[in-house]
Amino acid sequence: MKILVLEDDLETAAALRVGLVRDGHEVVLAPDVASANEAIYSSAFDAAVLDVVLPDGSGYDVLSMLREKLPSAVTVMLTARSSIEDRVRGLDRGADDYLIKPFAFAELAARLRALRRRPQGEATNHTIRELELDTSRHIAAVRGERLELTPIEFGLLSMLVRLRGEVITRGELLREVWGYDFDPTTNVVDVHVNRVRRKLESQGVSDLIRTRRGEGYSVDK
Amino acid sequence: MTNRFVRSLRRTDGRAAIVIATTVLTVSVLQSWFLYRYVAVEALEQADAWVDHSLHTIHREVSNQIDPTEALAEFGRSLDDGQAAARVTTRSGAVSTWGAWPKPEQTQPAVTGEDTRSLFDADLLKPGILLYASTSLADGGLLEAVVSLDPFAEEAFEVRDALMFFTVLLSASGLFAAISATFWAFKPLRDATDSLNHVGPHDLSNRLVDRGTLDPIDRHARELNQKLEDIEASFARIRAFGNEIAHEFRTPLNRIAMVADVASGGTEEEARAALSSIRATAGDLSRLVDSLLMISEVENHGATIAHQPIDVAERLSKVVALYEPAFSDRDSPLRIELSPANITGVPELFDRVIINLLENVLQHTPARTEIEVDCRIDWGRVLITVDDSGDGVPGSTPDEMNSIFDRFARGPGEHGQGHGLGLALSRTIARFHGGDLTVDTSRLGGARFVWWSPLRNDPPYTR
Repeated sequence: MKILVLEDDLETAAALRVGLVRDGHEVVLAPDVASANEAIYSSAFDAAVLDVVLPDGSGYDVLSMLREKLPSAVTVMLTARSSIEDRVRGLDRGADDYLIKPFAFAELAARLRALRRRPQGEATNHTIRELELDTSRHIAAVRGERLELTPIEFGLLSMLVRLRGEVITRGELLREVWGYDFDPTTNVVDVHVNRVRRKLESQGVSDLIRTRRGEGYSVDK
Repeated sequence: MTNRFVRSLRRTDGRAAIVIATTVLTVSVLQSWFLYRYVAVEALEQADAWVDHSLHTIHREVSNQIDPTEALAEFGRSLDDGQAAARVTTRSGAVSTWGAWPKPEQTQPAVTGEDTRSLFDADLLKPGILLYASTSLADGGLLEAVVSLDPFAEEAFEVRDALMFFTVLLSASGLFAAISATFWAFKPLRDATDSLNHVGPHDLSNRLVDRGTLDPIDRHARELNQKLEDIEASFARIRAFGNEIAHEFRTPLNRIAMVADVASGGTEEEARAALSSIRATAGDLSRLVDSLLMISEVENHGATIAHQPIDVAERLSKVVALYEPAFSDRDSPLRIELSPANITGVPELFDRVIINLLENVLQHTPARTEIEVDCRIDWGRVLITVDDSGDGVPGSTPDEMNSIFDRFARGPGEHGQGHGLGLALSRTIARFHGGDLTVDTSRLGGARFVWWSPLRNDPPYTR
């Protein structure tokens, strides 16, 4: 899809472009509010990644413009500050999601993909190896036999399965599954993931969830 | 700035001296004025009585057909310079005069009988003026008499001259006293200001002169010194904080540089490992920045964050559920006892404190440590406690133990694990919620963290 990237730090912008182009997207870079507005007027975008603090204004201004001109475009705000109010404001003004800098690139890519899928309705049934997941009814089964998982465990497994192929950080799991916004320094998340693993293993599904050292977890495609 | 203060202070000295001197001058002039008036009126009244007496004596003599010359001379002699005169005007208009009758402008009517003199009559007391009185004779004629004021005035003038001399003397000494008194009185303040001149951003160690008395200036100096003490301390803290931040950043930045250097000459696999290490270090640095920003946000902009009702037991049990498996994995029994309690605050920040406390316990206690999380209402406050049976917090006094809430505080032998900001942030949040977070020794043997918060709708959070 065609993505507008509003980011004033040129190094960051270039890195974002490389990553997004590799994922098969077309990328237009805008270093400031003025050129972003110009780009919005001259062409249509499917998505926009907007930095908040810019030399000539705020990313929220571009967000309003975008909502007016391209209501269907998916928007992700990038906030440098860990400001509680900033995040709330972004979502209030119609952003679809936000990321706190510095974020994992995979996180941005996954969010863009997930958001893009949202309107069409994401698949609720996933099958991977012998595991079947029904995310609408919160049921997990291995070879037709129901796997007893707590809601938290189900949330962890379904997020990893839904975004299979992506590395999901511990912080992201905490945010999605528990709703807490912090990066743990302890093994608090690992213990939960290990419980899911043990339950899967007891049903003969081993090594489904892989640990990526220093990064997070992933489920192979 | 300070120099301007000194200059205006010197002007203040001058103003104070002028005020004091003017007051002394005014008081002495007014006092002299009244004194002289009093003496002058006294003299006039004596003269009035003398005129009255002489008029009656002459009246008696004239009525008895006696020549009053003798009596007039008698009065004149009594008046030293003999300035007394009398005249009789008969009904037919014949005038007989004894002594030298003065010109009309030289005379002033005497006040006799029931009437009295006022202080303003004092102006009548001038050299060469004669007091005049008259009475009707039995045959219809008019008897008039004048007596010189001079002998009576003389005494009053002497008093006046003395008063003038004293007024000048008093004013001069008043001025001198005023100048020296203000100079002396303001000296400590001037000294204090001079010492303030040496206090600046580079040297906060100077203090005002304090002679240790109960003098208001000394009391102000002490207060100001205390403020300077606080400012110096917080300056020192800020400087130390800046240093600590710089040190916190140096290690990971050096690591990034080193890892990148080594990887640039290595295999692809090594480069991949280096990138992952760099990513992890960057994540660590951003955690540090996030914590610092969150502390400063809560400290500086806390008032603008909207408060919501918080069901303490509900949120606590949610966070504890997150940590329960981690504790049970290392055979740490986790007991939890929650009574219903509500506070007002920011739920996200509330969770953060509990998370930080449990992260802290998980990180700093060995396996099989008992943990107890408890919340209850106590004396109108909500008390949230986290107890453990670990090694406890280093330090023997409460102050020493509570230093773990300092920013960048780390226990002995702790390296790399976190930045020592979690507890600092937690305390900041606790205080922002109107309460406090402290540490003590637990009855389980380890550390006991106590977070108290005002009950919901308790001031100051009714807004």
